[in-house]
Amino acid sequence: MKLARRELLAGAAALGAARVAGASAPELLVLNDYPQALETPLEYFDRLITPTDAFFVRSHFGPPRLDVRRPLKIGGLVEKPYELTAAALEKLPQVTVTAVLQCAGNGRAFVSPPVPGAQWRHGAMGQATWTGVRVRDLLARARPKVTRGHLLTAGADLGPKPQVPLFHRSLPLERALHPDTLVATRMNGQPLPLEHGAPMRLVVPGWAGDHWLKWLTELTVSEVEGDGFWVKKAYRIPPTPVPPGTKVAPEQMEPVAVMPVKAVIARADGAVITPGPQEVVGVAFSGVAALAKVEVSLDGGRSWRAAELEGQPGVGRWQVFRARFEAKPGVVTVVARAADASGAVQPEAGVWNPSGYFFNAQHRVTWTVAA
Amino acid sequence: MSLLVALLLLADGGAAEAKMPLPQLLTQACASCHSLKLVHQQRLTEAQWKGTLAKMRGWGALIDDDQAAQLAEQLAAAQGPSAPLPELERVDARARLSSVEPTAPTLPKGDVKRGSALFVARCLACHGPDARGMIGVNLVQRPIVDRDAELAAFVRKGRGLMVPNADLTDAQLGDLVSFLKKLPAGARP
Repeated sequence: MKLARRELLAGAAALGAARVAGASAPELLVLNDYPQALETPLEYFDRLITPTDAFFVRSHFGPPRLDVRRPLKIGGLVEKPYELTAAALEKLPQVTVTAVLQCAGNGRAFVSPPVPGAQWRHGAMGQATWTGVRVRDLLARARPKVTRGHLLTAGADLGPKPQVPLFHRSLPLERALHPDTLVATRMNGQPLPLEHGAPMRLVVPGWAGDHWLKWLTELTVSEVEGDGFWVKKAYRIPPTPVPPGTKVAPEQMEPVAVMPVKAVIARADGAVITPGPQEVVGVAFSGVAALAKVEVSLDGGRSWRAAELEGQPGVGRWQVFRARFEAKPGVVTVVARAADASGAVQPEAGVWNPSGYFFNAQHRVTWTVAA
Repeated sequence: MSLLVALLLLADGGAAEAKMPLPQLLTQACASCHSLKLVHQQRLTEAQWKGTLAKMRGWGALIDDDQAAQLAEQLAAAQGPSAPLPELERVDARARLSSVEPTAPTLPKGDVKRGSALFVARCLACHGPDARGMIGVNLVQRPIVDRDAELAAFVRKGRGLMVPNADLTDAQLGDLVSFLKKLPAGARP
């Protein structure tokens, strides 16, 4: 069959685009082999839903054995503690939310001066649909004795040596009772894979991933914040910015919680693009408030234009942004700058903190435009 | 035998003893609990390394004061704050996700009591009486107990500080797996 030159080029471009956008077998980038730490390649951040297979993978110890019958215990300061399995939970009224899951340390590789920890680039984040039961409803069945306090959350994963403190978090009860806080059994409509928390995990839209406990085993109502290393020492951030490199005692920091506004462009620094009609595409979100706007600069930040937004706005929910432009031969320095409905705008430079959390500097990339 | 090896590794041999080469020291200090990629992506000062190593020793990393000082000095020199970030390997996602998922059993279904006796004889000295880890790592609730071909391969071959146990039969390994599957999770905080 004879194809016109235009059709051949269109076909080749489509094939190239398909490879770039991961339409063939999904791929991940390896930060660590065990416990597995895998991040999503940049080109996936051009769409509303991250495919489950391309979703980033992260935990402190790796998953425990798959056990679909492992129960969740609901207890603490409640009248009627009880436990239930994923199978029982799936029989209760189900709710689905669309939300961004992001590691608190996403972007840590770009923090200066460097800090210890997994050196995530942009890819320790993704958006999926999460299906399960509201924590509010699960707690109501137990009849909590307090309305203020914390929900202590724990999972089945164990550290490599007995000295390693077991991973757990402490979620303010007010946040636990938010209608969008779920115990989920499904991700993107399918049962949770083992690396994503099977059989049950916590979903806390707008809050950093450390709270989204995987392999969930306990929800414990408490009057006070949880104790132990992971709550009292780790996952803390200074309440106001400190000079880069400062040592700050954990007691002087507050727990990481709501994610700040952020936009990521889905094409890497150093890319080569052809002249003619092109786009700047990416995703943007905030855990503080719904996304308000994304602006794009094509001259390194001197001038800005509004990008179009696609998808539903929402707290902790990303939208795709798109800005079309005519690429001329040479070099173009592209910057994306997101603002949320609270008025917060992404800073030009990252806000340094001792653990490299919540890096959200404006994403800046330089592309070569060449035929 | 493996306990003796571990003790020898930890023994202070005196001031004139040559330093352990870095790759070997990293294997001893780090690789039981997590792969070395996590180490090699850090770009830290000597002071930051000292802090990190102190935390790791508190969590069971098996090095003495001299070895910790050596690691802090050598890693800061090789991978200081201005070192480049390593390139990330790009891999097939499904293959990686399934690497922790259960596989069809290849070993015969074993006997828990025989498995327990085998554990005491061959594994307890390093992995601890409750298998929660000591010199060796935690074996409780690990995905590998549902991937018995993989478990059999590296128990027979050895790995890192773990010596080979090449003589174990499929029946014996089946007993061991049955025992490991029965181990309960530890206490919650």
